[in-house]
Amino acid sequence: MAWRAPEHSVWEDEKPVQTVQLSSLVVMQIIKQCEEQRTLGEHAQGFICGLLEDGRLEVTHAYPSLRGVDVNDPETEVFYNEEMGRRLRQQNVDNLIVGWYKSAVFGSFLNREVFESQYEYQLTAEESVVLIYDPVRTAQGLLTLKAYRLGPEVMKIVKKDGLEFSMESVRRAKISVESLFEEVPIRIKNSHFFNAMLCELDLIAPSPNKRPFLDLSTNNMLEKNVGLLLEGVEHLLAENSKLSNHQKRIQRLEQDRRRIIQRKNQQKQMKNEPPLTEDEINQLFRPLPESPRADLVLTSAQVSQYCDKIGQFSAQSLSKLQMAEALQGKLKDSSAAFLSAIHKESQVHD
Amino acid sequence: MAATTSSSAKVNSAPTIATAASNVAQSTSPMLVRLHPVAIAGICDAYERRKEKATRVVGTLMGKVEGDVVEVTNCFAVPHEEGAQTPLRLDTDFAQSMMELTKRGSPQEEVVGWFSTRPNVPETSFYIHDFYVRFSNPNIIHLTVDCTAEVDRMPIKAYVCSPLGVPPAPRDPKDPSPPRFDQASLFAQVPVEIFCWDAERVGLDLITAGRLAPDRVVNIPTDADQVLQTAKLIDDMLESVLSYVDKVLKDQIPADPEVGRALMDVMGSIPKIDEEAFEKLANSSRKDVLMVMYLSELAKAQLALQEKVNILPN
Repeated sequence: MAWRAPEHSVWEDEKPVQTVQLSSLVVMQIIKQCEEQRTLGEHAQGFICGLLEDGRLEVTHAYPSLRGVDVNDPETEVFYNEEMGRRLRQQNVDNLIVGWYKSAVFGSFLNREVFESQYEYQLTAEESVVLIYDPVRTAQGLLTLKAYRLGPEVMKIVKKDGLEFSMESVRRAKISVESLFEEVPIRIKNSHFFNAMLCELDLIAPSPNKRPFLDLSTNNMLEKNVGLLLEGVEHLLAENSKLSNHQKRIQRLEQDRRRIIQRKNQQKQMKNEPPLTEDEINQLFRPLPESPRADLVLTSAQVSQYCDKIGQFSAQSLSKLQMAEALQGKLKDSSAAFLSAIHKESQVHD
Repeated sequence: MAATTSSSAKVNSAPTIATAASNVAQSTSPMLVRLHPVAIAGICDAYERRKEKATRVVGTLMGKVEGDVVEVTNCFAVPHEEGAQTPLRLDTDFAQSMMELTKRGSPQEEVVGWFSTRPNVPETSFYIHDFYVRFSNPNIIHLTVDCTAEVDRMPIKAYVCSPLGVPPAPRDPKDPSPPRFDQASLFAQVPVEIFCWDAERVGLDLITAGRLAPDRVVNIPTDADQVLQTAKLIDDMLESVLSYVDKVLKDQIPADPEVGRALMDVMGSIPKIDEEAFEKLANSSRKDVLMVMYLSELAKAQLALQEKVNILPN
């Protein structure tokens, strides 16, 4: 596959991708591949190919990743990608991998695995994005496809500290839960020829216009969302208790250290020697262990994502309820009017 | 419809492919082609990426066969050359390897046919069809999508190829290779149906909405947009129904009993909910939503606090 040679220095400080532009073909391909695997009860994943131009990432092709027995063999995957890239080039299709897509429900994608993969992608090709497709929301009538990438600060500290970045580096880089994964706006653009095809499709297979999203039943979705949120919060709690344990341990270590230093200094004072210098202290003890922060940041980001999702969903449900109530009020008036009209009519006939 | 005998054209098939004909041959010939929009999109994309001066693009259709229904879910172009002077050349190695690659990504798909982007079926199509028959099975389909824009529409047609029963041409008895072609074959048309899964329909509807936009761009709507759009749609629909009813009442147009019955059905499908019961339902729903909203906001506040305390201790 045409993995580009890494050239981070050029992009280091700017934001290379401002928008993601998908061709209709890619949207259809991602939906098809994710739906196909959904029927098999699996989460789909695959590669997207395209080109970066003026801060706009144009994605023109998508293909699924390997499935079956040899999935975990890295060499097979490299071979598959190389071969696919070669074949795509022969078809004059863009063959530069610019990221990947993944199906995930209710925004539950902020985990270690996605974080690490996305880091790898952005390391190889800085402009890479991950497209997250939500099959459940889409089945409800709202195409849910979002593009994310890791922010430049995150890339920097992971490059420096590895995937288990520490508290120090998080503090220095000022990473917040919002800036871990940046959302990149998506637009879908069609060529004129594609529009012609869409017109033809509209003629031979017009849309049934069946739109299920004024459905008033909210309980199911709410329950699922809250369930996920609970899970996230529990996870967060566990991470937090891990952290406080760690802090307690550090405190103990520091106390011990201080005690030892004091004792030694006292001994030295008795012998009229100067107290221990900084270097001597450092030689005496191992440095305090750093606490890994990656999981905590990721979990927080995930919980925050769930909260946002719930917020969106609630706003939408409330507006639907409002609408239904307004209609119900109208219905009452109009049915009364209808009844009186019938009443009058029958009186006239009598 | 092409009927042909000559064998001057050259199909450079690899020897391994000839044996593939012994695959399980479907006993029933396809009666209906179910075409997913993604396949048509793929064909159009392949046409847009054609080589300079290429008159048409051909390629493989992948999908699955269920009884006498062929479902096409995927496709890819296969490089080929043909022209008035040049003989037909089809990159069969490419077709073979691309098919294997596609199968590794989506194992449930198999070769179900091939497509061409011109409306006619010229003589060379017969040789390509013959290649695909030996490549997979005799009941594959041929799909033509007219990308030439010579007519106002973009006709999509599917064919099955059946021999006319004219025996092979007499040939050198010393030639050891088995006879390949009958004297004549017929490409018979089979009906095509556009078939979408629900999610595909959602995607297609969204993309289709952009076809009349001046800059050809669609943005993905949010939940609130969606509710607004639907409300507008219902409003429009009600408007047109009302204007129809008004016109009928004013005797401007004759009443159509079909429409009347349909309207009555619609009226009948509106549930009659008691006002109090509705209030109760709506209120409990709203309470639930508000409660969850409050909880999620609380969680967010907690997160912000935690961020200050834990992630960025200062």
